[in-house]
Formats: sequence, structure tokens, C-alpha cells
Amino acid sequence: MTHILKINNLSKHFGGLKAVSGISFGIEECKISGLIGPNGSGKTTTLNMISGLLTPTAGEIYFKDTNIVGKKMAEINRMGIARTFQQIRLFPELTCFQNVLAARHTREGEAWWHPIVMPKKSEAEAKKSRQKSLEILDFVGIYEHRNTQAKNLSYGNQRKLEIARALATEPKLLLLDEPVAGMNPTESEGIVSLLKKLRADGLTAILVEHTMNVVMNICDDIVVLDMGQIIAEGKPAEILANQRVIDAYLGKRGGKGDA
Amino acid sequence: MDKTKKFIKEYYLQIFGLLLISIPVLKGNSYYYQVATMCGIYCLFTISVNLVTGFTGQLTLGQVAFYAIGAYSSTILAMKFSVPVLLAMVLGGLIAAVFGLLIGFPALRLSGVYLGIATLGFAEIVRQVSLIWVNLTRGPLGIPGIPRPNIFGLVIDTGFGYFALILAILSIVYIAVDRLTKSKIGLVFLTIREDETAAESIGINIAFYKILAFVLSAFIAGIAGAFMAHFITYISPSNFISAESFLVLSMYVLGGPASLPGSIGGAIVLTVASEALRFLQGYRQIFYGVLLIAIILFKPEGISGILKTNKITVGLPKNKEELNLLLKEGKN
Ligand SMILES: Nc1ncnc2c1ncn2[C@@H]1O[C@H](COP(=O)(O)OP(=O)(O)OP(=O)(O)O)[C@@H](O)[C@H]1O
Ligand SMILES: [Mg+2]
Repeated sequence: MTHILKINNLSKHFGGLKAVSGISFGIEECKISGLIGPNGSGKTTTLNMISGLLTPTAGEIYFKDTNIVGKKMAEINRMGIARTFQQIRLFPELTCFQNVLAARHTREGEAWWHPIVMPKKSEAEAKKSRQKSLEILDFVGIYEHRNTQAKNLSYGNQRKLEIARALATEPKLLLLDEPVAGMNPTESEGIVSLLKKLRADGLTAILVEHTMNVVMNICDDIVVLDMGQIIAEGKPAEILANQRVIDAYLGKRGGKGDA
Repeated sequence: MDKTKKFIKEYYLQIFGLLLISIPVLKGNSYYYQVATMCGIYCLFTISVNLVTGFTGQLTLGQVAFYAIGAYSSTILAMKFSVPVLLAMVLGGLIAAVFGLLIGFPALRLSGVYLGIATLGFAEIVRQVSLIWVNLTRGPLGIPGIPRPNIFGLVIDTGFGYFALILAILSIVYIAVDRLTKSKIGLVFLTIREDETAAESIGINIAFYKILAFVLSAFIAGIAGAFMAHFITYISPSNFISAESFLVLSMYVLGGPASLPGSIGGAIVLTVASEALRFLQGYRQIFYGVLLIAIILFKPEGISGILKTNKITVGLPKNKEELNLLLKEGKN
């Protein structure tokens, strides 16, 4: 039971709006944890805080026992947290290969001037990165599209490319924000099998998702948010049977108990 | 026959470059050398714009500021402090780079048109300073009699000499920038231009790379300005008006973003065109304007689109075999 990520009393307020208020939970290594909840419940906001895109109003986020609150997104990524975005953010004019290669390059230890003064050595390093990038493209199943500009990919493949790009940074923790949203069943099936493959390889991830059968199918643990607060935590089966979760999804909000 | 075709296909840029270089040499007259040397200066200048605007997507409308700083610094160092001219040129570039650094930091907070306006403002400040700081710059009178470059006692004062020198400088800068931008750094620059947040999400320190682009760009523009000063041997604030920034911007746009061969092409075409169109006088500006609009509307990739040397080639292997393997059966 090692928690790779521990969230302590985390809050984010936008003006008067409490998007996330005082949530605490832990993420175990080598598991895929689901973060679910109705629209506007604060899931994306939570991922944004973990990845450093947003600074929390209060609370701590411990990643491998280091408080990462206040660190920049790039630094957090280099520590080992990668993410995808609910609204896909690729490098549209670049090819799939370049999208992934760019992410690989950030893992090379070279100084910026190395390519100028020692091109041979730099090229050797780049070659390794190119190899690795192609492997990753192959792994997520878009190898054949490697020379296609990201903007020309199908929606499903754009999602895959975003995952490939995140994987290229070799994350210890991957944050996925609705990776199957807006997909047709075949595309969605592709992502699900990709995630299963990753889980078999020992990936640790937080999966934000609305599609229940995907969540139930993939997640080891689930945290349920509603109006910025955690209303349930547990195994998929427990969550499905939880009355507060059912109420939240059916819209009977704040009816009873201590929210 | 097939072999020659292949050879041409592979080396057409180099062949074309050699042909271009040979024109002034064969003609051997000083006017041709002079135009060719100006082409070289504008090539440097355009590459500097491309580095910061084409690669990292930071719009600069005031590139002439660094050109001016390079020109004045080198001139003053050479004349007041008797620094050897070639060294003074390098120092002029470095001083421009320091200003690039100073501008780079506030530029982090701006983007798009706002950054463009800020750089435009900076260029205007530099020009005003050059007008007012009479002790150093002689103000509107300008500085005549700027010493010519001198390599180990050999004074460069012929058309051929200047042409050879700018060719050497341009080659060094071109190779360095080419290596840099075809490496991971070029790709990193492009990711920043494409989507800053996504770039950060894969661990790219965008502040560092944006400033790096600014500094390198300022250095190159500074060298171009310094060379121009020691070539024309007279500079005054009227050399550094904003129209100059817009001229190189036109060259950059004509060449196409993120393509060095494009920038070279754009710079040469417009330098030669403005010589050829001298008879149009002030109406030349209209020509540039119309050209700019036409390119943006009909051929946004500019010359680079025709040469197929645009951004999609950044980061690809140089090794032909590996490249072919990568491109094979790849859908495009
Ligand atoms: N940058 C912002 N400024 C102001 N309010 C915001 C901002 N980002 C999110 N919110 C608000 O915070 C609340 C939580 O939003 P969030 O995006 O985290 O929800 P979510 O659980 O991801 O929802 P969805 O399932 O629709 O993606 C919403 O009410 C949203 O409108
Ligand atoms: Mg969301």
C-alpha cells in the first residue's frame, strides 16, 4: 500500500465558486484510479492542480513525499507526472512522429548548444529518441500515421497521440482526462484495450471518465466527486451500490448526511 | 540521365546557391558585389526574424532594434576604443544579445500582437536614443568613416572582399542555426509556437526556450547590423527606421516560417527586387505590402512551401536510409 500521490485538504476556488473544496485521497502505485462525478464536480480542476496547470487555493499534493504545490507544470512533468487534456491539446501542425519526439527530447540531458558544436554526439542521442518515439507510436497503434500532421488525424487517433506523447515522457503517474469522450464505440474500445495493456505494464494512472462501463472495466479504485467534495471512495462494485453516488448522478444533490 | 536527375533532386538547393554566388563573381563588377553583399546581410537579418517568429511564434516587429544596437556598438567599439573590426562585430552581436535577454523577460508576459507592438516600441526607443545621445552617436548627423574589416593586416575594401566575408559569416551562422533548429531544440521551439500549455505539459521549460530564441535572434541581427556598418562605413538613425523591420518581416514571410532556405530565398528575392524596383521610389513600399498580403492569402508557406523545407522536416533523421524508413508507407 504505497501511495505515490497523496492529496491533503485540497481546494480550488474561482472567486466565490468552490470548484474543489478540501478533498483528500491517495493514489496507489500500479493501479488505475478512477475519478468520477457529475459535470462540473471538479474533476478537471483536480487534475489541473496535480499537473501544476492551476495553483490550489489551499492544501497539499505530495508526489513521492514531495509537496509539489507551487511547482511549475514543466517541473512536475519532469518529476514524473504526465497528462492528457479534456480538450485535446496537440501540436497540430507537427506530425505524429514529431509530437512524440518532442516529448522524448525533453528527457535527453543535452545542453541546447550541443547540437551546434558536437553534432555527431547529439545525433546519436537523437537517434535513440527517434527509435523510442516510433516504438511508442507503435504501442498505441498509430505507427502508420506517423507522418500525418496531428490536425489531420481522426478524433480517436488524436486521443491516442495525446496518450503517446504523455507516455513518451515516461511518467510514473499518468493523468487522463476523459480519454474516450466523444468517441464512437470502436474508437473507445481501442482506448480501453490500450489502457489495459498499460495497466499490465504496471502503469499508475488517474482516469477521469463519464462512461461508466469504461470506468468499471478499467479502474481498480474509484473516487467520486460531487460539487467539489468527495462523496464516496472504494472498489467499482462498492461505488455502483453506493446510494450517495446514485443520488449525485440522478441529481438528488445534498439531500442528506454530512456532505 | 537518371543519375543526374537524382543528383539534381538531392542537391538542388546547393546547386542553386552556387549559381547565385557565382553571379556576382562572374560579373565581377562592384555593383553586383554590393547587391550580393546586401543580400547576405539581409539573409542574416531574416534568419534572425525566423528564429524568433517562425520557430517559437513570438511576433517581432522591432527586429531593427538589435540591428541598430549591433551597428552602433561595433562602430563605437572600433572607433572610440580601437577594437579590431571583426572582434567589434562579434561584440556588437553580443551586446545586441544582452538587449535580447533584457527584452526576452518582459516578452514572456506578452504574446501575439501585444508582443509585436512592444518590440515595435522598443525599436522606436532605440532609434530615439540614437538620435538624442549625441556624444556617443553624433545624433542625426550619423557616424561617417567607419573603419573597414581587417583580417590579419589585410584590409577588406573591395567588393569581392566584402562579399567573401559576408558569405563566410552567413555560412557559419547558417550551419549553426541549421544544426540547432533541425535538432531537438528546433522541435521544442515549434511546440512552443504550436501550444505553450501542451509544451509545458511534456516538461518543456518554455520561458528558457523563448528567451533563448530571443537572445540568439538578437545576436544574429546584431552581427548583421555590425557588418552593415563596416560595409557602408556610414550609419545614422535613418538606417534604423521601422520600415526596415517591416522589410525583413516581408522577407521572412516570403520565405516561409521555420525554414532557413526559405529565409535565404526571401531575403535575396526582396533585396534584388528592391534594387530592380528602385525606379518606383516610394511606391516600393506598396509593392512589399501587396506582396505580403498575396503570400499570406495564397501561399502562407512562402518559398519554403515550394522548396518543401517547411516545419514538417524538423527533427527528421539526416541519415537518408533512416529517413526513407521513417517516411516509407507513411500516410501523409
Ligand atoms: N478557470 C476557471 N474559472 C472559473 N471557473 C472554473 C474554471 N475552471 C473550472 N471552473 C468551474 O469549476 C467547476 C468545476 O469544473 P471542472 O472543469 O473541474 O469540472 P469537471 O468535473 O471536470 O466537469 P466535466 O465533467 O464537465 O468536465 C465548474 O463549475 C466550472 O465551471
Ligand atoms: Mg472536466
